[in-house]
Amino acid sequence: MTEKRTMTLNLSGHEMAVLERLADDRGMSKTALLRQALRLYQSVTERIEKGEKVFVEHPSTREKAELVVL
Amino acid sequence: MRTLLGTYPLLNRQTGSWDDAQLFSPISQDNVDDFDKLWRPEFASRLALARSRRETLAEANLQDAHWDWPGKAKDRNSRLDWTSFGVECDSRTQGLMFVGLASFAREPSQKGDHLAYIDLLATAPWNRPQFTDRPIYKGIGPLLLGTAISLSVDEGFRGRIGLHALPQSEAWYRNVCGMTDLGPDPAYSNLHYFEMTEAQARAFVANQHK
Repeated sequence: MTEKRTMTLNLSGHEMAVLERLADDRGMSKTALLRQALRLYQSVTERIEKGEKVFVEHPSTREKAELVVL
Repeated sequence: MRTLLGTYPLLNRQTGSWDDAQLFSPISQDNVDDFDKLWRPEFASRLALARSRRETLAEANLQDAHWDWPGKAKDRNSRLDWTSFGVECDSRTQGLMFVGLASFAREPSQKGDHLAYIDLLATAPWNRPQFTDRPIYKGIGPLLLGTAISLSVDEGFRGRIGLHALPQSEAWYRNVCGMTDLGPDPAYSNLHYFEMTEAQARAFVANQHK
């Protein structure tokens, strides 16, 4: 909806394969998937910078693991 | 940077004319100022009237009067996982919306897929039936909902949207918008959670063009 800018992205063969598989699984373009990844990365890093903790929880055991962003 | 996304006609119920409204993204300081200076006083006076009449907030169409649009705009305008929209007509803000882009669908046919999550959507108090006997503009809700669907398509989410509805708005999302009611969400004050699938989004957009 807003103005877009273009960049060239260099990825390894493995990284490109992962990107293609994730985009295919989600039914999204590679650009859309990378934009979504950037949103999630910003959201997580800003929360951690504010001192919040981000966890993932196992669906059955309820065991939690803290997400650490380096 | 604020962008004009388009101009759309709104029905002025009082004059019967179609007036041009501008749709902007994101919410600007002018929109926040309108909320503080124009919306808040209307909410306050109507709330006092509702208390004197022993009306509920739903009966007075006031259940969102406490929403903190200025605070949310300040926190979210730099975030990539939030986007916002303002509708302007007659030199004042007629509608506002926040949409989150980091949510996942729950409806079984699309569970786990990305969707655009409408966090807040409101029309100006003077446009609301029940709030006033003479509401002015009609069509702001459908315009904003259609905008969320367009955003979802632009982001590769195929028109999927989700939201938690206030009780005053449940029937509109269910019956008019054709969204699926997934029932009360205990994690969200038991507000009913609604989703729109790709097919429902197509139907909604087609209905808007009839």
